[in-house]
Amino acid sequence: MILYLMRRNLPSFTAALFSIFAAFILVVAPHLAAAQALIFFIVIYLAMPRRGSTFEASLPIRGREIVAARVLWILALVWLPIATWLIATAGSGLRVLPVGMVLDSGAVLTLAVLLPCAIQPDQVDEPPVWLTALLWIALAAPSAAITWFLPPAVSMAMFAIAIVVTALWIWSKTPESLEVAPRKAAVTKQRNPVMHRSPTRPEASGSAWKPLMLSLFQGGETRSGNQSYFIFVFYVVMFALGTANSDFLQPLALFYLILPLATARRGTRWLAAFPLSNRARLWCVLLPGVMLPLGCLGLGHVTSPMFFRNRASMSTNAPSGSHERDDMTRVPLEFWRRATGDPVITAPWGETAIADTLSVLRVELQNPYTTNVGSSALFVEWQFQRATTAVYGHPMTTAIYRSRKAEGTLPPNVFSSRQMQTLNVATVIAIALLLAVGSELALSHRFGGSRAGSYLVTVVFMVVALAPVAIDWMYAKYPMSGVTTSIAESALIRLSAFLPTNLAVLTIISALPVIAIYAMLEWQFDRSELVEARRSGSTVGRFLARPVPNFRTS
Amino acid sequence: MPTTPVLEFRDIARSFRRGEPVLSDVSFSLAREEVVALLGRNGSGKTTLIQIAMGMLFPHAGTVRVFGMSPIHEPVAVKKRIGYVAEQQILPSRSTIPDLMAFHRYLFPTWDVELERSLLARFGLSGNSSRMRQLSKGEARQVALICAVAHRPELLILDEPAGGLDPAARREFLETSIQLLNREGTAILFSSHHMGDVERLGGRVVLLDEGRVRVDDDLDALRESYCIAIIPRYAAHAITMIEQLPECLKVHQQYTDWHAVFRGTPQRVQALLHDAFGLNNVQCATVPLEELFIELVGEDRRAEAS
Repeated sequence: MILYLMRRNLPSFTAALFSIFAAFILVVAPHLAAAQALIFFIVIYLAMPRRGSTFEASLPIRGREIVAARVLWILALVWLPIATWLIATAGSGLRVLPVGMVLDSGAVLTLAVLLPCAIQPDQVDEPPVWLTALLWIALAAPSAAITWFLPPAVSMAMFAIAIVVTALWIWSKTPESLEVAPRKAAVTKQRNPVMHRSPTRPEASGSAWKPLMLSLFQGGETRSGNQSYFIFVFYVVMFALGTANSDFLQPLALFYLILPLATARRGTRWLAAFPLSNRARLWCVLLPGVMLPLGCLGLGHVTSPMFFRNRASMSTNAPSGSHERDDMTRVPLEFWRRATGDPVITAPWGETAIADTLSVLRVELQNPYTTNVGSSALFVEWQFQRATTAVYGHPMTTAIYRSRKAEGTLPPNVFSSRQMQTLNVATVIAIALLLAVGSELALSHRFGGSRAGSYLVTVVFMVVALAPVAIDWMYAKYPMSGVTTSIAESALIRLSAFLPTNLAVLTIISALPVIAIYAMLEWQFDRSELVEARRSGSTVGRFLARPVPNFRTS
Repeated sequence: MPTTPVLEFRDIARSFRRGEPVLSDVSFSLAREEVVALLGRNGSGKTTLIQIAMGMLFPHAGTVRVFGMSPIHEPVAVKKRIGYVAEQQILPSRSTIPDLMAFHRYLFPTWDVELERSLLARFGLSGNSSRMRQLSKGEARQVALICAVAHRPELLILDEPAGGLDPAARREFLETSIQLLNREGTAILFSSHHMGDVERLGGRVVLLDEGRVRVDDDLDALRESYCIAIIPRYAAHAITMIEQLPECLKVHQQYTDWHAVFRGTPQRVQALLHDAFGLNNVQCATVPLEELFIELVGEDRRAEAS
């Protein structure tokens, strides 16, 4: 019966996507995955139904079997990345993360899934979010201590015992029949509407904004369980990404933006029946779905001491090559150029060097400032001055550069220019709004009743949003910022050369594409309809859930 | 001087899956002070039509006008003058009753605080600061109904308004609030499966069947000018021709006999069947509204082979 229930109730699309995503990252970029393990777990956990439904509770199925089927799916999704990593890296020598630590983390996450089930095990309704959060916090400290201080074998044994004990306790305490009445509703005093006519209590004054504000952040009612304040997870994620990463244009951060957007859209659907303009409703989505996440990202950048740290000098964060003489002219990828065929760089006096090249998605890029092992000092100096012109806006000799670097008086690089800062902010907002357009198309637009069309758009949207992240990780072996970010920044640097320094004019010019995309978003929003949330995996679920001859209860 | 209809559907068509229309060529209108009951089986397109009137769904063909405006292009102006109760609870479950009332007061300039208080008191919800999710289904329904009527809308759209209310509360609400509003000139469009509600409110009945308007007539006319003729099995050969009669709305098999729904008095229909097909003594009778509804939307029932 448990297996049948698992086949019938497949995981939600979001949870499955993130699990596969986590497996991919863990294999390709293990350190990155380790840093984001908690985010992946929270997304998977919150996107999955945790207990039974009223419908299931009404069927002749044991309560513990309903709960077990749900919990096993969550655990399967949690362990999928770990198992994938173990298999993919077996015997390859690519295991940069200690196996013990990874297994310990899996065990802790298993406990994090199980422990909330131990609260009110007789109820269909799960415990409130705050209680689950408290449990996780209580679990985090001892788990970290055990993993850190004890040998892997001991810690694994301790976690295994804890998991078995918790699982047995939940199994024994979950009754045959789950109680479906929520406790809060059960204690609400029922009043007879006819008898109770005279108002005996004073009228409570309400807040007009409270229903709106609550719905902005609470994500609405979903089939997959209590997603209260789910959106705040992503605000923290955005802030963390802003703090940890020096790049404005982070494909991962922008990809994550889809989730707060979808949450905010779902939470504000009820406003469609009220006399609010489409624009007002759109801003009700954009405030929690775009503005606040981007604000958190920006706040992370501003408060981080590492702001733009890896672009402070010419050679940091640059790809290495085979022809270089030293690090002096290894500029970041943003300053490389597309190879035009001849990789030979010729100085005015005739000396040549072979440019360092890098192939990104079959596009050959070359470092126009490359120096070779046999290059003369004059050539190196010539190239260095050209490189500093590109990076800092004016030429510097190697001597001046070294002395100013030692003194800490290097001039700001081109990324710090007013034009680049404005362009970066405008680009991030433009991409976020484009994501909102895509999200509207994928989630709230009916394509003439064509389900295939709707799914196709959703898949295309997800692929387009995910592609930059995947490309960055494909080239993650190079010591540089993401390839897509570098290429985008390279385009912005070229564009910034044509822009004025006057802030007002600069802002107007940068805002034009943003306004155009916003207009497109409004246009699309006007065409969005009240669409029921799609039931993820239902088609596959129906296919897999073959009928059972007898509805066995044991 | 002709006045603009409060609500007008013209040739509305809508589908959710290609080739499976939910609504086809639906046309009717509501005048000021008119009460229209929207009837139909589950899935007949009632809620879709109501959501089209609210501008929450777009028609694939045809036009909808509310107070002469498009609810899609001028949603604010339209919705300020509409009261709407959805079939399913749409109010945010974590909001309290006072907060929801304050929200409505803010959005609707014509909100009547006195009416709000009197309705809250009538439903026993005065001073209740519970969240929506803590209320019983009936109480939540009552709150939604108060939110829909307390701004004294010019058009009240109710999708299953009394679903979840006990009989006393149902009668209380329908007979006081809705009729009170109707006396003030409010047009009411409501869908319901309760024929008692339909008969209590009177007005006009629009019956949707397979996405089309099968009947659009006054309640009195439905009671008096529609009848069921039971065509005996020996006259089965004439069924196809009977279906072609302009007065015949539907013919369907009931085990061994055939039931035909006619627009006309029993005497007139009997005479018609006699003159046209030579059928004598065909049983014809007016029937209660619920029976008429079942006859109009019911499926064939054939005697099962043993």
